[in-house]
Amino acid sequence: MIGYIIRRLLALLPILFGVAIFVFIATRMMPGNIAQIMCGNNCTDEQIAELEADYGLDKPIPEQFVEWIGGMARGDLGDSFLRNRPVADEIVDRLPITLELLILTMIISTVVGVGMGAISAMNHRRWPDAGIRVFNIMGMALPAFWVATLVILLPSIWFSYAPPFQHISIFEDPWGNMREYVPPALVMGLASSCGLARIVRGSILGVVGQDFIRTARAKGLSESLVIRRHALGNAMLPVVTILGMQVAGLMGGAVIIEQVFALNGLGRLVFESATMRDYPVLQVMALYTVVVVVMMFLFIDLAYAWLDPRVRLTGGQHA
Amino acid sequence: MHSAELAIDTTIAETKPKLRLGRTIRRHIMGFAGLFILLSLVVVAFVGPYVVPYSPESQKYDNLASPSLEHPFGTDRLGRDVMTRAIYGTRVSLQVGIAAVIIGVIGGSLLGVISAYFGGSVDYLLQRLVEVVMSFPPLVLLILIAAAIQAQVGASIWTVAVILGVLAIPLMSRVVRSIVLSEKEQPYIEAARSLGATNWRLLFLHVFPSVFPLAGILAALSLGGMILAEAGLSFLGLGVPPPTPSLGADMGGSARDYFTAAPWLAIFPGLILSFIILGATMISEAVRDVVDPFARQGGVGK
Repeated sequence: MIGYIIRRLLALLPILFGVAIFVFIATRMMPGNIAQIMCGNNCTDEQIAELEADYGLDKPIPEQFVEWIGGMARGDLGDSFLRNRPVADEIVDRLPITLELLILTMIISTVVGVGMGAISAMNHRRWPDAGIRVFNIMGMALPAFWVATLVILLPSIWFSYAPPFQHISIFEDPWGNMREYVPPALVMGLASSCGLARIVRGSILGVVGQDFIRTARAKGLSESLVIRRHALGNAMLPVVTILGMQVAGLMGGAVIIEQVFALNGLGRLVFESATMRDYPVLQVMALYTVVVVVMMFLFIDLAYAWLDPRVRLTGGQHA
Repeated sequence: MHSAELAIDTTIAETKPKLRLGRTIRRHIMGFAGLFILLSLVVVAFVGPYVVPYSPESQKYDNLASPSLEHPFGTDRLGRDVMTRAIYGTRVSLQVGIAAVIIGVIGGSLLGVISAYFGGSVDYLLQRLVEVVMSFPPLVLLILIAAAIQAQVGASIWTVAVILGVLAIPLMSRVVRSIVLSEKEQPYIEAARSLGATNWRLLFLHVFPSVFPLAGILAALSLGGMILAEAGLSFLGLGVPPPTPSLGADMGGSARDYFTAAPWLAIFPGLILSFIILGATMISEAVRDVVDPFARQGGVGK
């Protein structure tokens, strides 16, 4: 087990290296750099060159790469061009915002998604099933940024209500904090619960056709007991994968939703860094997201082995 | 007796196709409803521009006029007719979405077939590359690439389509690869090879045709996501450049400052966009009900 985890983590290294090179080349291919953007049209060529030298952008690209990788190996993630502070500090400051959004979203998504999927499966081909499926398709089709816009816009028109737009700590003012985070979490949570409900429904329907369910029914168990005690547990395996992938996606920050709700999470950091050509932040965020995704897949595989004794962990080929 | 049987046979033969079509539509009512929505929007998007009296970029009307008979969706901050822009924006959405799907499916099929058919070190290298690209969360990769390429060659709806299409290639190639891996072990391939067929002949005459149905399924499953991705990128200001009408871009950027004063700016483009994606999603759900290559593959992104 420990050996398996170590093998999987070692398999991560070459991927990280590939991603590092890929991001480094992609950022340097972006036209314009931070020096030019900060100057606008007001600088002479000499002033731009001076700024570039300050950021170390005048050195040859391979030299920049070696310097950066060397720093990473010593645990120094580099400094943000834009904010003049370590990238690590910037990420640590924003992580709580992204994490709180993630936790609320996942709670809503899991409760609503599993609930809808189970109700749908128990009423297979009857009206609750049809109703839930229609709702699910709507939830998957409506663009999140439009729904989010309406969630802000309509209350402001009808009741002159606006959610708070400056950060409120959950420890100082829990109610204000909830008013800030629940609307975006609801938009994302309900949207992802729709995709989840479809998987749960399909998964339960697949399990219900098996022999041990027939036995449970033959024992005289009520239908809801059959579903809760026997079917739901077995149907949860594919759900673990979906939930894990949703968590992995949200760990990198929700770019569009954070933008609409003005939340200073990691998604906004990536977006701002890309538009302002803040290379050090982009490089670290790329590696961070890859690590999160790969770790999540490792966690999913471990969860499978723990939930289902039939699953054996071998090799580390598909990291 | 004999003639009576014959008569029954002919009536069955005559009514059969009709019955089947009706039953197919009833069984997949959602898919056909989605097809109907999407086709109606295609008609609106491609016939509409010849019918509406306004130009999408003309600014000669009142600023921020509320919806009226003259301007059913109102006008925006520059005095442009919102309905005209929505009609042209629908066309842009469909063009980008369909072009991206075609690029993704063709590219993915080629890469998947090459990777699986030739195997060995070719397969190994391609699959490691696919893994690196697929380990990125899609939106981060999109933002990086869009920011890098757009300013380099000048943004247009076609650069957006190419970016979205190319980024879809890895996942598509994975699905195609797994199908080709099993297909190339089929006895008929071996038979053709023993008759002296060359690799190219086998590829184009036997392997590619076996991928066609899968390519169609992948296209149906991915259209909605492509259109949504274009809208999202344009919304962030990284997609279709202004003043090109785009449903996403018209709801983002500086337009947002006017939403409270002119809510129609937010409501109508989003409503149309939702209908496009709804149509595409209903079709993809119907297709998914019949076959699901992603599920057979063991989960997206794995």
